[in-house]
Amino acid sequence: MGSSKFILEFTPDLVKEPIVYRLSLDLGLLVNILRAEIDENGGRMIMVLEGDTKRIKEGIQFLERSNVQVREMTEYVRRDQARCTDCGVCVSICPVHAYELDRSDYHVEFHAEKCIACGLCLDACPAAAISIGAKEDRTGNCI
Amino acid sequence: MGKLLPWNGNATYCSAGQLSPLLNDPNLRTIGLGTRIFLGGGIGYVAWEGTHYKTNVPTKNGVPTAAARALAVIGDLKQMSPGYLRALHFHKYGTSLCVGIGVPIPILDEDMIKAVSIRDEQIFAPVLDYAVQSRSRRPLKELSYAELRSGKVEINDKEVRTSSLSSYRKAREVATKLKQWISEGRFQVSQPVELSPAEQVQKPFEIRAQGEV
Repeated sequence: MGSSKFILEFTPDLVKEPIVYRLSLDLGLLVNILRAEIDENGGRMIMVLEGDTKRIKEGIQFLERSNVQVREMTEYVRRDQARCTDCGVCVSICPVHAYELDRSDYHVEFHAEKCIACGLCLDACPAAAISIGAKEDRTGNCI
Repeated sequence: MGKLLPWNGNATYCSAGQLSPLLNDPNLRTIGLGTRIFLGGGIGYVAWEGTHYKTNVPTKNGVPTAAARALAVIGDLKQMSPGYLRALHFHKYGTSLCVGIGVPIPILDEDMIKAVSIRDEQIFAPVLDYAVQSRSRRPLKELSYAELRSGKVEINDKEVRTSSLSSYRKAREVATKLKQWISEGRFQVSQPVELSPAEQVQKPFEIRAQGEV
């Protein structure tokens, strides 16, 4: 059993296809949609796939076969440690507790695996230390 | 006040609490015009009382429970470092400056030691709902800095997570550094040339919501 986060890009011709249905029913994967912005022009979905590692792999292959652009999301937001002052503004903003104030030395710990890419923290950081991960930025897809 | 989420979604607070110089010497007995201070990584001086300096505020355990005294400071920018001086931008509010300030407080007598031993549990702040568009908004309750720093508080029977706007890690760093400077003889503790006014009143300008005018 494993779980991973993925970003799916839908082109306009794909919006009619029951992609998520196939993932969960045909492959038995647990699908948790974190974000979905899809209309007649296509769009983007961020989801967590949970299940057997082999099954997840099959799921990815299925998505690729269906012409859904898919890539694993390892980093959505990036924190610039040189700019961060560990003030903690982001801590109470994050809906999934991805930022945590470590009270042993009062630094803010970021748990990337909890991040659901909501983007609430991006403009909350007064030091502008939080930005969209550079990996996604280069492709210009993940904003 | 940082980013606030609707319906008491979160709460923010400011000040280093038990490490704040203004709360360790709340009556400014040792801090005044000319006091040598740690300023943004270099050495600076207290130049005057700050804007909104006022003494007519309620106190609890000897420390104010609302904005009270403030300091105007001056220093040589070339001595300062980005570690303690940082440009900030608060979304939909504007630019600000993050300045690391450390003030040495000499222990003159028993009253002084009592004042500097203040703890977060003894320092209180009013909880204000900024959704209420009036400067005369009533505080929902009062919370101690210990509660605020714990990460979650209760407001209107709801658990609300808190965020600090000032870095407590940096506050500790400033205090440690200043202590080190003093013990190495690099920083001389100075006596203020003049003390700030013992009494000063600020008359607030009443800002009302559009409907109230």
